[in-house]
Amino acid sequence: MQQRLALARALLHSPTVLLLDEPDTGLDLESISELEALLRAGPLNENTVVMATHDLELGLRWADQVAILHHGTFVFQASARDLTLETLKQAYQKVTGEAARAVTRARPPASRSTEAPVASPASRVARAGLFLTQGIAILRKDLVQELRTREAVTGTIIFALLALLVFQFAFAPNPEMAPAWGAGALWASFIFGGMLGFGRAFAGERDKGTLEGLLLAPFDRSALYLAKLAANYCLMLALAVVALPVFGAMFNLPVFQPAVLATVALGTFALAVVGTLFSAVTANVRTRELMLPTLLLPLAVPVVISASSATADALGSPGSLNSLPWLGLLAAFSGIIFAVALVLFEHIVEE
Amino acid sequence: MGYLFAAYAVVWVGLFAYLFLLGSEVRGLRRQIEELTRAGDEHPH
Amino acid sequence: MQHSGDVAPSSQLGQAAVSSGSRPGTWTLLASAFTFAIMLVALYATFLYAPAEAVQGNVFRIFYVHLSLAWLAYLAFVVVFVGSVGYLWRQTRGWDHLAKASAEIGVLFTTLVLVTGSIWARPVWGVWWTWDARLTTSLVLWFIYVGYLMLRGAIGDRERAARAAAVVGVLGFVDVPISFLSVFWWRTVHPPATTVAESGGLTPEMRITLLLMLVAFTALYVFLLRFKMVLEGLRDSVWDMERDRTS
Repeated sequence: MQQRLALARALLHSPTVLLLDEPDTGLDLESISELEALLRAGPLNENTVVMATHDLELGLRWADQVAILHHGTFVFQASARDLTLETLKQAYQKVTGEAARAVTRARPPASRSTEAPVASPASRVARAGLFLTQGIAILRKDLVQELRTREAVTGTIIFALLALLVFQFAFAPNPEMAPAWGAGALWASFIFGGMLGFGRAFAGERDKGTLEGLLLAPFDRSALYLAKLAANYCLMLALAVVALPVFGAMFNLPVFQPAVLATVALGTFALAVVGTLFSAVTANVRTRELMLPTLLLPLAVPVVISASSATADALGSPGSLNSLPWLGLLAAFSGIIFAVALVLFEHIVEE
Repeated sequence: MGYLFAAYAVVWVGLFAYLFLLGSEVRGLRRQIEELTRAGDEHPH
Repeated sequence: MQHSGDVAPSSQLGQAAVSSGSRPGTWTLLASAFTFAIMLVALYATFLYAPAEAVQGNVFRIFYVHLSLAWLAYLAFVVVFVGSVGYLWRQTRGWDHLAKASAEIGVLFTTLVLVTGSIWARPVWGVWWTWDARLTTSLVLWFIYVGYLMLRGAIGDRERAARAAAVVGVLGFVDVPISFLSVFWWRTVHPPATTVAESGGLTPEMRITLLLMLVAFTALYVFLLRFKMVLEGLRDSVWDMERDRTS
């Protein structure tokens, strides 16, 4: 019953490309014939259908092109017209035999020849272009999703503002304390708000069941990290755009100066760099809501110190250059952690 | 000096407690290995 | 991973594991004896050889164990970094054991650093805690590596836990110098409220005592490390045997 429902759902909107994964599972003979009739009436003739099956006979009957995948590589491909069940069975046994296994492991996979063996300038440019396209594709997907639901950005902003409110009540600062205290409260809000948002970068994918797909797709791992980082950074900037004016108004502080803006831009970037990385690390962990802050906060200490010190300086003495060393430290932190994260990211998402 | 004594006491208690912990873990693991070995011998697969 | 032809019989694995652990070996006995001996010598030096300090008196003797523990804790975390990089590079169990063992010992030592630091601060500075650069960085370090151990505990699969931990191990280590720098600058911007009573300086006997303590604790660290790594090897055997049994 489930299977028929799933099939009906898949055919509902007349897809251009139909992906079938073992479509005959759980179906009796009669239902299989019905399915075949349904597919032949429309999709099999008009659209592209890609079907994965272990039933050689079924595949041969329905398909135009038959291919055998072994360990992620196409080891056999032929037109269905040129095959009989016997020849297909023989081919199958041959390519999945011991010898073939050893040979496939030894030689570089033929189908992954998009990576040029010699890194010529042209191929390097092509690879960089591909990298960029992949990254932008993932980023666009995330941004479009977020723009539609606005869940993450709303949640983050409201939470950060609430944090500011709680700090105001908890610390009840008097006006002289405002610059130093305010800077601290602001960055605490950014961190706590940010932590809520960062987790969704990968945990959100996992919850929707799309994380596996994302990892299986032949993306350059770094492209994935960069895309998620960019998405998280956009989230933080959105937070800053709302929180900064509100903060400035509430506590009567001169927030719109270059030093403060630069600190916010750099500080939120630094947080996003670490946050995105740990979001990936903790995505599959049972206690991830606890683990992300536990891992993130100690490593974010340089960011907290630098950002709040720089902001406090700027708010307290606008126009002074005291913030510069802190900004330098923030930049150094971001650069170093970013570089390390790029290198390490591949190891996190190996499955 | 009380503080001097306290500091060194903490250190040694801590170290010995850790050693004791390691020892009991080792014993537990050895026991598990023996059990698994016996189970493996009885039901070879 | 299915090895269709080469399943090691559980009994073989078990025998190997138990026998390798139960034969102490001359080397281990010698090393343990050396560790014990040098620790005794160092303790003698700390309490009876080194003079009382000019400003702080006898309480100053905490310094020797506090500083030694601190140095060894930092060393332990360097080793965690090495183990993490090694594992990411080679993927063999040994590197993972090295990282995990060193992290545990490092956390233990860091905890002791913080506690002895606090106990020392009380009579000398009148406070239980001071946010000076070194103590604060030690606290941050403690959190980083406690997080490391928590993460290891939270992931069930052995390889994935090792890989995730290795990533944190590398990142944590890279973060430490920057953390220290930021805390140090922060300290100069916000100097402590009370002037910290400094010590008078180290006499030659004190230097020798400190050196002895450092050597003794290094030997202790190595001893604990090896002990823990053997333990992890045993744990691996259990893991493998259980996996073979259910496969």
